[in-house]
Amino acid sequence: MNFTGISRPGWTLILRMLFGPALALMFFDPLVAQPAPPKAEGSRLFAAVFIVRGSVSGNATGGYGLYVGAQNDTVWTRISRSSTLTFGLALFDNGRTRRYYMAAGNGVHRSTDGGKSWKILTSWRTEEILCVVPDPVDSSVIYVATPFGVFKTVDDGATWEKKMNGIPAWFIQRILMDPRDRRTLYAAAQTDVFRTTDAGEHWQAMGSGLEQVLALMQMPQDPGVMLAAGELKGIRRTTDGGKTWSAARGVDSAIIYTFRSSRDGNEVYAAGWKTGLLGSSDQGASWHQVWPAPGIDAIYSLFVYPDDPAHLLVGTVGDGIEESLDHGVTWRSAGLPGTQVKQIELYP
Amino acid sequence: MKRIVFPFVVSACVAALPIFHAGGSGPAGTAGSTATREEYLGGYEQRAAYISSYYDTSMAGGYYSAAARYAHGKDLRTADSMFAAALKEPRGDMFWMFPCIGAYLNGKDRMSPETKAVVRNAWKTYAPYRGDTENHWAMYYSTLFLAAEQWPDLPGSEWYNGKSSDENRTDAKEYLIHWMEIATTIGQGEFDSPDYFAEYAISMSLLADFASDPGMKQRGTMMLDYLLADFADEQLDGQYLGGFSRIYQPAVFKPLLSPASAYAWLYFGTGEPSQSGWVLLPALGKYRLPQIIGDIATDRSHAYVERERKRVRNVIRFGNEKNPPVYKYTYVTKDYGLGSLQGGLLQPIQQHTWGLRYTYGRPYTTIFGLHPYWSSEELGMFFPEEIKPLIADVVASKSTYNNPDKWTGGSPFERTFQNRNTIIVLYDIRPGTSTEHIDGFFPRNLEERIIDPSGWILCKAGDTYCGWYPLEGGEWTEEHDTPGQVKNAIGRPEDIARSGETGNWRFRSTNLQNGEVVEVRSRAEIGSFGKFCAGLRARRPRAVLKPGAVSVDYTTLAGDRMRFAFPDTRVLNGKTIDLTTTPLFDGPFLHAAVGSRKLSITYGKRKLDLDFTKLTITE
Repeated sequence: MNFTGISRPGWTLILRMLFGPALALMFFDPLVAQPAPPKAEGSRLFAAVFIVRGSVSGNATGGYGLYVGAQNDTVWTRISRSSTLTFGLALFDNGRTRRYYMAAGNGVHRSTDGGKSWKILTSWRTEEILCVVPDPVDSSVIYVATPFGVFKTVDDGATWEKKMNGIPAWFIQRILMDPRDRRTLYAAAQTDVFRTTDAGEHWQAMGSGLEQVLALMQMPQDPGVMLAAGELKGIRRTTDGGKTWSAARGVDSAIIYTFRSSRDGNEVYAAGWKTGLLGSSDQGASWHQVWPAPGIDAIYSLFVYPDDPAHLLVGTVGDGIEESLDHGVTWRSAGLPGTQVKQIELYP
Repeated sequence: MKRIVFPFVVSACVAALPIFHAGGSGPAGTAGSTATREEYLGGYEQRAAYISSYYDTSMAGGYYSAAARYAHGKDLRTADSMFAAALKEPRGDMFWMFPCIGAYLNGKDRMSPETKAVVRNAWKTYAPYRGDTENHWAMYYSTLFLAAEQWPDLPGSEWYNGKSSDENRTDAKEYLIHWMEIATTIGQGEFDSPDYFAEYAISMSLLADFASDPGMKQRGTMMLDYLLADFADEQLDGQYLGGFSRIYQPAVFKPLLSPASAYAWLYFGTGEPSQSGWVLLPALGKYRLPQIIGDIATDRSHAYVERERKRVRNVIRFGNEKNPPVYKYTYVTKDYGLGSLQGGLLQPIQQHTWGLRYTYGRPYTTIFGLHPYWSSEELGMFFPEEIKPLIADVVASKSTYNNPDKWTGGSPFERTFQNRNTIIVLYDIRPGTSTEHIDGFFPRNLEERIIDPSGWILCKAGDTYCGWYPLEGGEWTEEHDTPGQVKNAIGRPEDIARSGETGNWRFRSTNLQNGEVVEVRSRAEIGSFGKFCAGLRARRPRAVLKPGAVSVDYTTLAGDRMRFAFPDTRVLNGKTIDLTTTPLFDGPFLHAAVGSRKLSITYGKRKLDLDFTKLTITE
């Protein structure tokens, strides 16, 4: 199924899902053994389409899944098999091996051939994958967030083990890997933000003051600065690696689904339920509305071009992708009409 | 004498049966109170043939027309053509899987090699989605298991999901065993659904008929026995008796519209003839209902209470327990059934908490009430998406969800207390919630609907009488079916002619602290309608209706003293009712303890035991 979008200048693009796994940050951080951030040229834009408005499992009006767009192309092409409720995606790329992952309602999908073929790595015991985070060094290690907890495989998906020691409520929206240490991960959970420093064996609550946590981000150039947000309580921020948290200004009770920043961290964006696009130029300490997003109820995903921080993409809930070339002053449709776009990434 | 039957369906015993009744133009039910097993089977074969006769000759195409032709060995090239044409553009995910594999398994020894190749290719190139509910998973894994058996030893590159035949077979088998285990220990999650019964029955029927693995064949057979037994003792005149986990409009007020009623007709001979596609594959199959279950379905010579324990669908947010218990209570007579769940949010969207159904006056054979509630929090309990957008997502496919006039759905502000044929329903509704009213459904074809000065609403539906005492006043509205209600939301067209457009009646009360006391009797139980009315006029519920303190004291027509305080204090004749002791099944016919993985089915001196710990069926 194809969607007609508009022509985009310049580069080929890849979209990635809301609150993406740490890989995006790793692109920006020299401390982690990751390849250099992809140049837009030669890369593709990947969009994780959760669902198309009005569709339902078993219905013939699907068309959701993982989509790829190319430079100066008005058509998005689905590369996942048939319709798959897609919550997100991730990339493993160590320079020798490149693997794409989809976090989907029916499991973790993996492609080792650029999206030509896919294999579901999980069994019936590990479904409703909300977020997938591959280890950046060891391709056999993958973490996933699910409504039933954090699961981890150390054998490339052959077996999965629940890793919830220390987290009391089982719904986990998001996992974030610290770009400084791949054994340190953060989980967006129902009662708080949780941190593990031993690769998921034990978790400790971070005292963020949040419940129903949905979004997490570390500043790309200063990972000790972390933002967290969820239902109802605005954005909470720590500048000391989680020892202390305070409320960000200007977003008192906003419901935030996603964060994204420019590569240098000077521009930070957030969005969620009826928030429009929010921006911050002080690493998330204070926020202002960049764009009211008229007619758009919610925004699930954001993307900032690494080589052009003025170039923004917004994945909406039901209205596809919106695009701005001028720091969010003016906007136009970038395709996938009628879709809910959970993550946007640029991948090689 | 104990007889172990493995891995085949238990052979039938000959027994006396009560009279079946069937209407319409199809063959009548043949099993009566004096029917033999042979007579029952003769009637069954006629009904099965009637169902498939449409598909035997239909030129409409599709999987079912192909399946029927394959099964009956006629017009095979047409079947090949239909099957191949349907597979040009597979769609429907797990709803594609079962008709596809059903047609294939009925015809694999008769279809052309080219058609076989087309089918095989479909399982390589079309990727059906697993879905997100229990019925989806039953369909998905049962048919995936069968497909993996049909094409063993293939690598992952030959399957839509990249898994090998062995991986798919193992995954599907493990899930199905898990589902059967949890269903037989703490109950089904998507339980007693008139609209989704078919999805489970088809899945188990296919396993029973076609699984090569003897253990899975036996499991399919036993689980189909289990599902049909569960239905049989809460079935009246083809209707499932509520409450239910899930039901759509308009079947909630036209009960025979539900696919489960097609199963009642096929297996029990009750209700109305149907040629629904939802029952075709079982009608083509080799499974035959154990006689004892048919007897239970049709013997209404004595009234009885059935108590059952089910479970809430997986709770992923806002809860401390993944699958809290559901307590179902049903009172069954030959004229009516009154049933209820304890109330609260037990299933998203389509819960039917309580209702009366009776044999008089098709198609509107029910009276019930509800608090029409919706919220993103309710959906967030069960669905993994971000919470706020969920309502719009759900309404896209279930348009009545946020309609203040809807007739389905549970509410956190509703609780019930049922004692035989009396039910008290209480509401303590939080101000500002989705709706600040409660509604009662009264069908258009009641013989009597008296708004009595005593405060009672006195209704007569043939030999069934219903008295409804609203604890607060309200207004009546006459309503017609809306166009959206003419077709069942799962796509089944309304096939029972609509009666005159005189309108059904809605009783709406807008007090937040509210409720009703409902007494039901039949002519056989109390005599004349006048006597019933006189009895009710002589009694009044005593209610306290304050926020946080809602309660009722009421003495029933039978003299039972009921005290009910919202939410969960239930006292009968001075004794506190503890719902937590409710067994998995507890009634005159079905008996199962929580955690047992066993179901004992009794009827008179006969007994049939389903033991999932040993995979045995024992008579």
